[in-house]
Amino acid sequence: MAERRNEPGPIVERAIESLRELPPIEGDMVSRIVAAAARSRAQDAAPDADDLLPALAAPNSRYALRVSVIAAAAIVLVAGTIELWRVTHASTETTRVAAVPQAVAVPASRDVNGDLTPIPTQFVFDGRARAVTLVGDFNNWDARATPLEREPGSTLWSVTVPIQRGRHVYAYLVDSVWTIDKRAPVARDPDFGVTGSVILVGRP
Amino acid sequence: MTQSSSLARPPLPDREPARPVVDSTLVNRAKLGDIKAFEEIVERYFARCMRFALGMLRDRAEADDVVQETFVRLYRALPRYEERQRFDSWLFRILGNCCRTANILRQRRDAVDVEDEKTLRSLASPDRPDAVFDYEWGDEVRRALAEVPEHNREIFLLHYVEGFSYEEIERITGVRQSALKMRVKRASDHLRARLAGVYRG
Repeated sequence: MAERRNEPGPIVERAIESLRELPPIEGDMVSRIVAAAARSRAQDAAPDADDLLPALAAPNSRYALRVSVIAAAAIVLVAGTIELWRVTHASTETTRVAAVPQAVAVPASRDVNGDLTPIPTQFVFDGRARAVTLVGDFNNWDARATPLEREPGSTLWSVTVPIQRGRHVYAYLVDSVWTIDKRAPVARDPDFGVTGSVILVGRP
Repeated sequence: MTQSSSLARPPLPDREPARPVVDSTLVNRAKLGDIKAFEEIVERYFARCMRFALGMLRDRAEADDVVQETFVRLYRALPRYEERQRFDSWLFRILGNCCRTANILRQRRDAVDVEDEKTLRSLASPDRPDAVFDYEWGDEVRRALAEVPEHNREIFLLHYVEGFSYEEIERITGVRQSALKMRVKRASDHLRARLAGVYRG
């Protein structure tokens, strides 16, 4: 009986039948898509201006590891400085801090044993908003998949997500408005048709 | 009228089975950068993707852009594709995300368009016998579908039109099956109520 109650009924069945009709394929649509995809992968293969730490691209290199550790430390330092500044200025300049959204992506840890192990990576956004979500190539740009949580009593939003090592493009949706991370490099080859930010996680 | 012919129509056939229509060899060739293999994948899935995008988005031009974006992203992401995932599920997950993001990005520039849409709907309303053009059943269905909230519409299309099981949709969207069934029911309820006045079954 329960199944019968879930049946769509004749009106909806007719609607479904109509919706199942496949649209015609315009002549050059497939070839245009294939050309766009080929161009896109060619861009991937080209040297990238926003890959600011080219040494990271050399796997198993001690130098690369050293640089990545320094880079991660630098990012953490920047994040810490922002947080310290925010806390010390909160009582007098809250409005000013909140008016300039700031976001910092911080690799939280690294796994030196398995290259395929995702690295928990923390994303922090500072600004007034009703809702902030993270979208990126690591969550298929799903606007609902990765909401940030606000620290009670502050304008800091954060989320930690496991991300594969490598270069990733991401952005925030701040009250449904696409917002790039002003403190991160801007992606030259926007993965999602609009400009995003770049994060390098671990050793690619 | 299109709907008057529905009297003689047979019952709705079983859902199209959402069988994988590409084999692993084709996908593996595309993963390695074989553009011909990728072209074959696009040819096999383009019409289904366009059908879904037309249901999720406002017009053909927008659907064109989103479907192209989906396949470009698919091609870029192919090296990361794992065969334990069903290929069409993976494709429709990317497509669904692209559609949702396109809708989000469009919301800000919608004010004028919404007015146009209202005008269009008032012209096409079955309550207006003086409407100067004869609307088709398919147009009515699309208008009614456009009124269904996006999160319900997406699941309705995946299940009833694209033929994915609830179990597979749970894998695609991460939403639990009980919630999926509720969304499909709500979409169906809306369509039923909205189309009852024009259905001549």
